[in-house]
Formats: sequence, structure tokens, C-alpha cells
Amino acid sequence: MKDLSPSARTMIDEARRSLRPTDGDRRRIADALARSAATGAGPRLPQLVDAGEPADSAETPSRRRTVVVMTAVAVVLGLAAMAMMWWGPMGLRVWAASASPEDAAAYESRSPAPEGSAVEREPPPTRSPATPQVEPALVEAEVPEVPEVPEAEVPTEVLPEEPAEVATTGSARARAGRPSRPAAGGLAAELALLERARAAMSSGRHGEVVRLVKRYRAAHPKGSFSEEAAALRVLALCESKRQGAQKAALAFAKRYPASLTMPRIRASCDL
Amino acid sequence: MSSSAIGREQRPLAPTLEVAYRMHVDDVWRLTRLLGVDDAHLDDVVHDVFLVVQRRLPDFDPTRSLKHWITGITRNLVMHYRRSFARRTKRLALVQPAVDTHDAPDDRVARAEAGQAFATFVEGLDDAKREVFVLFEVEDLSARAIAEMTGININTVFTRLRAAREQFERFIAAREAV
Repeated sequence: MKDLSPSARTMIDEARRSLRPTDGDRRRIADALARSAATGAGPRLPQLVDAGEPADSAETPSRRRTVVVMTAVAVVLGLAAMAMMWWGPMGLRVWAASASPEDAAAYESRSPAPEGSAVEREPPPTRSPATPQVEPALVEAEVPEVPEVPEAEVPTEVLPEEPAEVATTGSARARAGRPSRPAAGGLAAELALLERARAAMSSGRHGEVVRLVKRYRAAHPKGSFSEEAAALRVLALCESKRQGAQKAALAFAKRYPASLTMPRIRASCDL
Repeated sequence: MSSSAIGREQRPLAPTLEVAYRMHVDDVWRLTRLLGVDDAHLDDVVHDVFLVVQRRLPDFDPTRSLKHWITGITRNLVMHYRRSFARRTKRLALVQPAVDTHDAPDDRVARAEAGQAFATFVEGLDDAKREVFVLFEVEDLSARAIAEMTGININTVFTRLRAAREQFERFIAAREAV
């Protein structure tokens, strides 16, 4: 098959870069998802929810409920954090760094390419060089919770290496195959710790949450996710009925009155 | 116990919804738009894609491509949307003013002209060619992957791709001639 002309290819590349949601789009969707997860609400287009399911899905309703419950906390906190990231210049900077296209590149690089891609594409694509098969470079959430390791032992190879200066689309940047630059700012380490705390929270290991947040604060006194860390700590204290929980919750409410986690904190802490 | 903890020793690390969202919301949004979901329902379809992703993440095989997996979910939801809503929306559009698409005018203007032109071209393709063209050229899926995802013969994939490419070249030539 005849390949596309350079100008056609250029237009596709430009379209790929420019057709993307605005920050407002992303914020609305993240907010809606956080609400859906928090309330167990269904899809916004009610008829659509099963359309993505395979016809022979073995998922049972009870399993679905379990999954929803298990992930609700992580989703609410995670999406709340994301929504917060989109608010304000600082948030945008954090987003650009934390959700850098290298995340996508890293994840995709450890995953097999879609079957047959780069092999049977016709003609041979010049824009999608084979991504190197390297070790996982993402998924802070899956850093093992136990045994605990000091920050210094967080393996650097599992952390995103390059903060993005511009939040271009992940796939476009990933395809570009740019070389990585050294890490900057320790944002990945922050995220790794926070994800561990979140994982501990969703598993009900409240003591571990409090310890991890303490470590987070010690390691990142001016961290980008201080609010999320504080929210996790307060939730852990409240849900484990620890002394001083309500006082901590009130302090959180005073400091972060607009936090997206406030509804959950109010419910857990009887505010 | 977190489901992601199961089999951690043996299996590659699984993504969380948050990671999936961060990495792919732009891709899902673009694909949803290019496959023909109108602006008024774009948010809702993207939202629903990630609800399905959330529900199915425990079943995701981390040895596979996350992007490919999410692309398949997106494609299925968009097809379902189009079947369920598009006809009704078209009818409504005849009698109602356009729905507010949320964006400030400046945001819409700011979107690059090339992107808009490309979207316009894609909208003009028939449904069958649009799907193959977008999945192959924009989302970088292989012809075989598209055939598997859509259930059409791989030769048909190439036929549609070839036809769409020819149309696209004519569109580019006409644009450059102006």
C-alpha cells in the first residue's frame, strides 16, 4: 500500500497533538468519576455500561460490587488528587510532571505492543519505532507495601524519569521515543509513597497509613501532595477510631475546606 | 485485601485506575471525538469508558498493552453510543439549538487548526472507513489488531484503509491548493 504523503502524515501528527481535552474537560470528567465512585452511581449514559464488556464476561454482580467497594477509596482519593492538580498553576505543573508522557512510555514499554504492530503495519511505519523492552518504569501504586523500605531504597528504575515541561499527549511523546532525562524534584518518590499509603488505606492497614504519611511529611515537607497525604492520615485515624482523630479532622477541614475528600472525611469522622 | 496484591510475585505490575486515567484520558477523549461522538456527549462517553475500565481492571492482563485494551473499550462504547443515541441526537438537532459544549470560546478557538481540519475530514468519512483510518493512523493499532477488535476481515481492513488514505490525500491536496 502506498504510504501517506509527508504533508498528510504531518497533519495527522499535528491532529494527534492538538486534539486533546482542555484542562476544563479533564477536570469535569475527573470530578464526575470521583462522584460516581463515591456514590456508586452508574454511567452517565445508562445504556452504555455493558457495551465495553465481553459478551462472555464471567463477572457476577456481587463481584462487581466488591470491586467497586474495594476501589472506591482509591478512586475517590486518586481522582480528587487529580482534580486538585488541575486547579491552579501549581496544580498544572504537578500534573505535567506527574502524569508525564513518560508514564505512558514507561508503561507501554514494558507491555507488549498490540499484536502484530510494527510488524505487519503496511507500509512500515516511520513514526512508531519499536519501544525498547525495559523494566517497569511506573506504577508507583504497586511498590510493595511490606516490608517497608526507606525512601533511599525505592528503586530508581521504577520511577518516571522525566518531568514533562508541557503536558502533551502521552502517546505522541511516547511515539517520539525521546531519550529520558534525569529525574527532577523527587515527584515520583512522592507519588510512590503516597500510593503506598493509599494502598494501605484501601486494605484497611490504618497504622501503616499513618506511618507512611509521617514518612512522607518528613521526606517531603513541602510536598506537592500534602493535602492528599493529610486526608489519608485523617481518614486512617478516623476509621481506626484513634484518639485525636476528630481533632485532626477538624484541623484538616479548617486548612482544606474545599478539599474533594471532605465529604468522605465528614462521613468517617462524624463531623 | 487489595486485588492488585494477588499474584504480585508472578505477574507484571498492574495499573490502577488513576494511572490508567492519567495516561490515557487524552487518548480516549481524542478517539471518542474522532469516532464521531458529538461534543455534547463527549464527556459522558469518556466518563463511561473509565467506569468500565475501573470495573474491568481486576481482569486486565498486565502483560498486554494497556492502551490497546482501553482503545478496545473506547471503541466498543462509542459504537454502542452511536447505535443508541446518534439517531435520536440527529433528530433533536433539527429542532433544538446546539447544546452548550462547556468550553469557553477561546478554548475552542485555541485548538489547532490542523486538528480541526483533520477532525472535519474524519467526520466526512463513512463509518466503516473512519473507524479503520482512525484506529490505524491515529491510534497506531496494527491491521490485525483492528481486525480482531472490530471483527472484520483483515483484507477488508486494508481495503478500507487504502480507500480512506486516498480520500485523505485528496483532502490534503485540495487544502494545499487553496
